[in-house]
Amino acid sequence: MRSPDASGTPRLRVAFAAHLLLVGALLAVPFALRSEVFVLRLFNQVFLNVTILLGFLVVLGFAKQFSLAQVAFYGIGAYTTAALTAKAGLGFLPALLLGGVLAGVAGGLLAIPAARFQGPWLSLVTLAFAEIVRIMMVRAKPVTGGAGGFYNIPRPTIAGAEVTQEFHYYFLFLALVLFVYLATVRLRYSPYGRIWLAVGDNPDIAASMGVNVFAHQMLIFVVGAVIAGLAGGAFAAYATFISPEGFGLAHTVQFLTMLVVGGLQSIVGTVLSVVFFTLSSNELMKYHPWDLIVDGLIIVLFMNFLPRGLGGIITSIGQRVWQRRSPGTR
Amino acid sequence: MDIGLLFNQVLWGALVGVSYSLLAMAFSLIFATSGTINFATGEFAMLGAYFCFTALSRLNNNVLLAAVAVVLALLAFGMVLERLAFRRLYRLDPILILIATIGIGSILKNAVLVLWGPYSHSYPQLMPSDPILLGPLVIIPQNLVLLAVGLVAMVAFHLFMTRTRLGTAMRATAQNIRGASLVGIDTARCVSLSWALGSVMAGLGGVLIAFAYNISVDMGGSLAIKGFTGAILGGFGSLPASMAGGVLLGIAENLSAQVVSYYYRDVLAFLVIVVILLFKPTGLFVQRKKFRRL
Amino acid sequence: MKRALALLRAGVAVCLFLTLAVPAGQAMAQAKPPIKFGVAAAVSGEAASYSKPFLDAIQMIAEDFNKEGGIMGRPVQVVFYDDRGIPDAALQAAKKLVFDDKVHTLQPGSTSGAIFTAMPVGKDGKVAMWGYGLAKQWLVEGEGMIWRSAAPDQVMIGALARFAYEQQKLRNVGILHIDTFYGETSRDIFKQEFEALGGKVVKVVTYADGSRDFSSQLLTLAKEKLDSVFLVVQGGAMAPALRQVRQFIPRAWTVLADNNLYNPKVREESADLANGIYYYTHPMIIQNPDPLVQQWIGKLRQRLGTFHEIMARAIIGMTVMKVAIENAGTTDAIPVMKQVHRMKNFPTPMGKFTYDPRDGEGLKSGVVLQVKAGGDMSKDQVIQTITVTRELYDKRIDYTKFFGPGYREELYAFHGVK
Repeated sequence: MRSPDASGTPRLRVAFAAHLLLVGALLAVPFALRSEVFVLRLFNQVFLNVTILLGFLVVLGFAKQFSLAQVAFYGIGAYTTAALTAKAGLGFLPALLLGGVLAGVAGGLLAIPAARFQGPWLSLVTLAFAEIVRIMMVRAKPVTGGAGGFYNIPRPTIAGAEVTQEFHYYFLFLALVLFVYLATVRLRYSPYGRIWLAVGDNPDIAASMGVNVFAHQMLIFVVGAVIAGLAGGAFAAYATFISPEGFGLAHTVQFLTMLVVGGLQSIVGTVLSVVFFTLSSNELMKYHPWDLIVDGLIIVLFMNFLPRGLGGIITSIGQRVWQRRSPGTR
Repeated sequence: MDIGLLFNQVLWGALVGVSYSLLAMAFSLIFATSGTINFATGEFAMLGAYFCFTALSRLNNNVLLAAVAVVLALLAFGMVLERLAFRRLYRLDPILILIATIGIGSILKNAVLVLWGPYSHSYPQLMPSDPILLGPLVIIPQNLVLLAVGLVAMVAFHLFMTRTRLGTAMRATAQNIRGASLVGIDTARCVSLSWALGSVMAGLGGVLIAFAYNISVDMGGSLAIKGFTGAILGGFGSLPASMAGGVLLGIAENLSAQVVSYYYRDVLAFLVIVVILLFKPTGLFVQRKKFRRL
Repeated sequence: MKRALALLRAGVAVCLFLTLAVPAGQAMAQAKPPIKFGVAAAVSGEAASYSKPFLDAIQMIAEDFNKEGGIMGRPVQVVFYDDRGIPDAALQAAKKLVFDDKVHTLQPGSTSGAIFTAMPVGKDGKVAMWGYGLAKQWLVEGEGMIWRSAAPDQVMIGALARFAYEQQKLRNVGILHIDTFYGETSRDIFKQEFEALGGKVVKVVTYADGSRDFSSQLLTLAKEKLDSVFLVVQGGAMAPALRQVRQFIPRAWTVLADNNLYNPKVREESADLANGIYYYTHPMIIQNPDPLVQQWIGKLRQRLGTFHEIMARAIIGMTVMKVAIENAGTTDAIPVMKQVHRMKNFPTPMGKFTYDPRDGEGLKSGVVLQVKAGGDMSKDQVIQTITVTRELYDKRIDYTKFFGPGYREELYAFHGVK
């Protein structure tokens, strides 16, 4: 994707400008479309899903830790925020942050046994962990409300303002997704990011170059879990009702679909993929269960023909465009 | 301690365990030959159960004919699926193959939902249901028969793999695919066959469990987890070990209610996975000096 | 490769365009605006075993309405989404129905838990709601914006508990129930009613929705000294549960069940396993000589090929809503619900619908039956019929938020209650 090399300075400027324009447009949207609650709701869903997927991207994409536990951290963040605001009377922002922290701690704890494994074995251990968490959500009835779910999660009050309509939530979710997006981009192009990519590609070589692979794996898990936990807390305050069903394998499958279509290492691809799937699933919901069949087919087709996803396509297009622009460098 | 009740629990656990074993074997076989962990194995079982239901209703409950029809259908299904969906994937990252199997599972499950509808169905009663009383024991004949059928099937699969040329070729492919092709084995065909045979194993597991419970579109999910756990418990990649692991899990699960509240029974399978992978990753019944990280 | 890429880009662009354009297009093409009946129903998952027949009946009745000219001259359109029996999904479905599809009436969920969860959406969006689930809390929390098209569990489980204690002389009951809002409420009502009479609920075990293996739960029950077990088991889990009860319960216990035994598919699947079991249901049964009941049963059999008590809840829901809208002369929620609140002796296949402003219930009759011949429901024997007139819950409905202060007194006076 974007390279921070010296020859790329004009590219960086273009990208920066594009981002500014986009953020500006996104800030204008809710005022222009205030009455179109339906549209605002779609935007909120997109922002939330992008946040969740960025967590997946960091852990599964960059570092190739094929953890299927992300939904569990999402759930931990959600239930923590819900319990703290509804039962302990905490304000939304502290509850949200604590949700993220608790999820992060859980992520670190999972990393201890899980980091020993690679590939499908890691998936298995993390899947087992996710299912145990989900079952405990059902069994710990006094805290979580059990299978029936957690009702009446209070709406957030941020800096004195009550967040009740889609219009208000828009800004909450926009702030969240921008924060996570910027953090992800920053991480990706930082030394940490480079190490994580190396650990993902070949942990043995990375270890032989002096990298403390285990410590980094733990950090990766924690970061992914914190992202998921923050998204979960925001979700809990948005839906005002959560139940263990919302944090199960079916959701993992949907997120994985978005991830692979986006391309496992591409930030832009992931964002595009999320936008596409969120919008289309809203429409296709009418034709359930065909929408799930289509999802499955998309996964299989992409795996067979486009394993690098939308991100891969964008990269090859981008390379071709830049090749034509600077003929001397290739 | 009610002896009759305990006996029934163990018998039931063994019956359900045999079903787990069959799925465990399917997992192990496909993994050993093609390196793929097939997360759609549960849906293969579901498909087998649905095929059998339709076969029994169309063929007037003729069990033999239905069995033949279902086995042929599953063999064909396994081979076609491997050719269409998986052949291109073997050189990719294992995670991508895994995700593809999840996708296939989702397609199968929802296709069955569209074709057969959302309602559950029970198999017809093939044997009189009156229990036989032997002293304190209460024996349900159908359960005994199903258990026997399952055990015979497992033994038959084992004999196929060890005593026939084709089976030996498949085992060679599983051990070392390059070496096998060097000595002239058609490894592509062996891989394809392992998918076919794996589908039959899983399908049979689905049929057995459907006799005990019934068929439903969601039956694949939990069954796959149990089967997978059984394979890991016994020894992933080894057919005899997987066989033992599945039955052990089934019986242990059922007897666990004597010790722990039934409330936590579902967690048992997952805890087993975590514990075994941490402390004896090759499984209870497989000795290996070094655990291969794949 | 280039061509494939170009094609793919075009494909993605087309899809993106469609996802945004289609709803816009739909909003524009409007001849005579239809009256939209929104339904969150389960067409997949365990709840589908009763929710799908419910939806089928709704669609059949909507067709009939349209053949007769619709409601107030406008066509009736049924809009539904699959909620799979899950409260989360029902919440999403309700939001879509209320805010995107702008429905005029809403049935918010396929299970009682789903209804309870999704109902606030209807209140937020000021849409007239009705629910077919049997567990009570959502009716009270509805503040007058939702009514029930069936008699509640309070009446029917009460009847079963009374029957169990007084007629069958049962004293020690174990309960196996589904781990949902509905299962918990059923357990609580049975326990309350049975223990008030002098009996005892000795042990309660639960199972997760979708599960089919009850051996551990039944083993736990078998250890106790029980003379009966009450099964609150839904859909596809019922036949396996009955089979396993026969296998694992060493003594011949009396088996009580909830009204899932009135599901023709469940009965077909359970066959002889169901013989001897006592269960409760609503008065729309084959054995009821009421001509309205027989007429509807005939119609359902002819049009939908089968007849299910739950279809009666659809019939009542649709016909009461239609009359309420017509009497109000508008689809606005408040005038429509006011018409529902004023209904007295409206004829339905479950008896006369008379809205009780204290607890919000309109129907308060149930029957207890015994299964005699497996899948043939016409041979079930009616053991007991019950009609209750008293107020059912500790908490009364508060109408002030939507209907103003003083409305409650007005309604009570209208119905002659205090």
